[in-house]
Amino acid sequence: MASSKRSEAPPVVRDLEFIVLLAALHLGDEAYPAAIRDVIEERTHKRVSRPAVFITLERLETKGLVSSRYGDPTPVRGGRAKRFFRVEPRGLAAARASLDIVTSLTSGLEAILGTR
Amino acid sequence: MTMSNHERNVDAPWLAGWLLRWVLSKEAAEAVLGDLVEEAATSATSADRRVSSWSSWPRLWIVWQALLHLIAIRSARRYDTSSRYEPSWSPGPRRFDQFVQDTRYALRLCVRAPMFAVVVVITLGLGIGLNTAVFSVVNAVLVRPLAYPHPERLVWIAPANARGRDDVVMAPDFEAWRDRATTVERLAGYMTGSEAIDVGDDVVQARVAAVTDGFWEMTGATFALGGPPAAGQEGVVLPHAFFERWFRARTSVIGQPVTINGQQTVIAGVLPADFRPQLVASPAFVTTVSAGGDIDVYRANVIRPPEGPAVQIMSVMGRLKPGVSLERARAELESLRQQPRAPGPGPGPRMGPGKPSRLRVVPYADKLIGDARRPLLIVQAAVALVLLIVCVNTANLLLVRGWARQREIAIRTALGAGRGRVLRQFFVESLILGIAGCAAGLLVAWGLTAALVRLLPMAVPRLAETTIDVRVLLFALGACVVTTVVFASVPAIAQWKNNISNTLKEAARSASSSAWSVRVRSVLVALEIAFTVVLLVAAGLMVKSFWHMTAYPPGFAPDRVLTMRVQFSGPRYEDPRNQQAYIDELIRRAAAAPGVEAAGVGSNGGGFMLLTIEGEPDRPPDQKKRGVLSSVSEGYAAALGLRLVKGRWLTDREPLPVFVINETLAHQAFPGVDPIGKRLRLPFVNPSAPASESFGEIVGVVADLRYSKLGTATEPELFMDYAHARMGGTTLTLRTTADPMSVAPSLRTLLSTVDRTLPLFDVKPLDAVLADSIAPRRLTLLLLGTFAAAALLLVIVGIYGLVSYAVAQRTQEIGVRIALGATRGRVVMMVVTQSMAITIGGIALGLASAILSTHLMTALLYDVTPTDAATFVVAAITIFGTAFAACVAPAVKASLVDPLVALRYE
Repeated sequence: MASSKRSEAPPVVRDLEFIVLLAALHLGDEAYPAAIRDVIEERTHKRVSRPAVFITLERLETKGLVSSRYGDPTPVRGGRAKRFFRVEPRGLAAARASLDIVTSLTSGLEAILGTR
Repeated sequence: MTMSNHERNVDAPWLAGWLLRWVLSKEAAEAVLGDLVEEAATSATSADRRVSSWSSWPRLWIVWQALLHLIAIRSARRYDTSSRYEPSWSPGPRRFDQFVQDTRYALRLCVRAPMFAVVVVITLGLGIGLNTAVFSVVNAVLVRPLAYPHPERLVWIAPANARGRDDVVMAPDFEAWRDRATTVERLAGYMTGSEAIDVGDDVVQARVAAVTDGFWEMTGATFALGGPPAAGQEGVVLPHAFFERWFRARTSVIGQPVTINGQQTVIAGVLPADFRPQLVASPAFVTTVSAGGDIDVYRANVIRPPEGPAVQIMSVMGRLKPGVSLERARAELESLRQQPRAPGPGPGPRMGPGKPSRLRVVPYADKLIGDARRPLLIVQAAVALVLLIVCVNTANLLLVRGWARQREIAIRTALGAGRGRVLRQFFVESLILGIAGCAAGLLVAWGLTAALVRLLPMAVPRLAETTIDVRVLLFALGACVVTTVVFASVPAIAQWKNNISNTLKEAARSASSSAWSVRVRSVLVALEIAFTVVLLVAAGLMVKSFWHMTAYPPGFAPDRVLTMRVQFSGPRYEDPRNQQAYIDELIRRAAAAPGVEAAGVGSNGGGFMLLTIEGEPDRPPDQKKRGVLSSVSEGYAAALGLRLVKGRWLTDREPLPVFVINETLAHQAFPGVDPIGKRLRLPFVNPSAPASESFGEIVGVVADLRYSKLGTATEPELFMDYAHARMGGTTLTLRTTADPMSVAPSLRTLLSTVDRTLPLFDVKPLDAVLADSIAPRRLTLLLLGTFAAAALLLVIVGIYGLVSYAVAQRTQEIGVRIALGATRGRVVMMVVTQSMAITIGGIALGLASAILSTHLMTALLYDVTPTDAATFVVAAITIFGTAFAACVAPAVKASLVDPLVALRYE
């Protein structure tokens, strides 16, 4: 029931959810919280707190936009597994929808925003 | 995330995992923890921008991040309603909420009964604070390594003299070791003493250490300005405090000339403020400067080829090569010492092959700490007893409260609270009290440590280094945790034992349900009394020792005696005639000054003299009687209060050298014989002089007087007039008509005009000098006394609480007794008798433990045996009286119960 309802209209993601989603897409199969945060900080030159990234990922997961799985333990982490997050098709759709909103609203503002 | 090749292994602290588990499933928590560990491990080496400030504390950083996650996830779940975000798998929220609930409830309880909370927090603060303060001293003195590179390999090297004491090392031995020893990495010689230094506007007497070249490398010294004197060159290094005080921190002083003891040298360097070498003072018979206190000036000690019979002497410290044992180093150094040297001036090895003096090589830290170890450990043990009493007392108080809350608990249980839930509530309450107590304890410790260092800096070597560092904080934390667990578990167990339905039915007054609790509390109070008895006995023994030490004979009034020291320096005073002229003038002016009754000089404790009695066969040095020789003036006896027993005292115009001895020496050297008229070999004569000129007659005997060191038995003593003696310095002793310190400044100004190049220093009343000589024992006494007083106070609280509780519980019974005709007196008797039975049990246990343990403090006692009966009796009576006083008030209150009210009660 729920899944068919979800597939109808992808939700609009805002702010950090959008950013985290995009960062996770950059990383593909290697997306786990610490790496996602690194990508965000490297590309945006903005600081983002570790708990914020984590909470956002969990929230995206409950919304069904990403899914997570546990990887194999690695020695540098003291034998602990990584929790990899993968963007689901629904998440991709949500990212697209959010981007559409941004592009449609920004088109015609290039001169003011100085983007071109 | 990029991996660096130089990851270091970071272990996740359990605390971080525990925090995360509050809000996350095990798997999810582990994954987050893994992220943190990975980041800490890689960023520590990759010059990461944010973690870098934490890079020395990766584990702390992980805990901090875990806490941030905990808080963020908690609040996100609570406030994020938009996404109906409530994962079902997490057991965390309930647990966390309960914790918050328990905490709130406990805080409300504290606010509702503030006196209870205040008493508990003060008690805990006292116990934890005293323990932490004492540990901070133990930490500084016994635990923390010396501030030198490789402190564990540093050794003190000294030959033992005939009396088994550490002697000085001769320069040729030092050179042989330095040049040829293979077991020693580095050697440094030094000599501490007191020298006059000309600082431009003034001449000050300074504690000087003359150090050889290797010293600066051995201590790992860095320099704030300049550097060490070049090898083989004269030069002076100033510690920062002296540089600031006397040279006003002028950086231009480097390279400037300065005059020490009349000899010119240059200032080569200044040490940074935080550099404080710790030196064992050179043997005291060589120098008159007292041990302890920071060195004011370091001077280069240049070893020169010996000229004539004189040879340089020094104390030696060394750093062993890694892996070399003390015994191996000792054997090598000893063999180098015994080897014949190249012919030339100067003495060869001092002892013949038949009698090798044994060389000692001991860890430098042990030598530095000396006798301070045992008193400190005793004090630490005593203060641990105080903490035990605190635990017992707090447990007791909580039991009372637990009893008062039995009905509340019963109702909560009936409404569905599990046992675990109730226990957790109790634990959270104890935890909050424990945290508050710990905070109070840290405050107490901080204040007490500062006070100790200020009041008694000389009492223990290295005491001035005492600070509250990480180790001390960990200790305090440990003490808090242990205390809290101990005092919190007793009421929890009592609660566990309680039969809930019973409580509800019988309205918490069934004798059976509280009998266990009363029994537990009686045992606790008895234990508390026993611990207190031990502390009281220990403190009592110390007080009695003190009383014996400071019992002054009639006529000796050290609080009316002012002393000031002077040290001869410069070429002018190498001539004894100039010394005498100076002293004559000093005494003349002092005696004429207003407020001075009598004035004299005495080089007390100048050195030991081996006695050779005329007409007796000459014995080898180690079998000779010996005495402490002082060169004194005529006014000395009157100024100090020496009492003549026989013969006459010395005058300032003795034509020939004569002696006055004290009673101890008379008993030791002339048992059963009148010493007057006997002749002793003089100390300062040429051995080749004719016999008639090399002996001096004994003309008088004075009563024993301990005027330089209180903590020791009276030494055998000899006095001779200063005109016939040779001395490096002397102590001016003045009897004043008023408080000595009120006249001291004017006297000092007046007397310093005799010769401006000779500063008068250590201006102190004699009682202060005496007090300094027993400073370590004063510290021990002060601490033990404080602990005993604190324990006594706690016992009052404990007994009062116990009796009040028992009486309140028996209100109904007492009402019935009174209704049936018991008199009020009988009721008081009954209550008092029951509590005194507990007291007597506690006292008996305490006395038995004291007998078993006080022999440990034998070394601290003076003229008192560790099982001194009087002290034990006084301690027992004190605690008996205290317990009695504490239980009378509740007993009287019980007797005033109105039977009508009591029977209607409940």
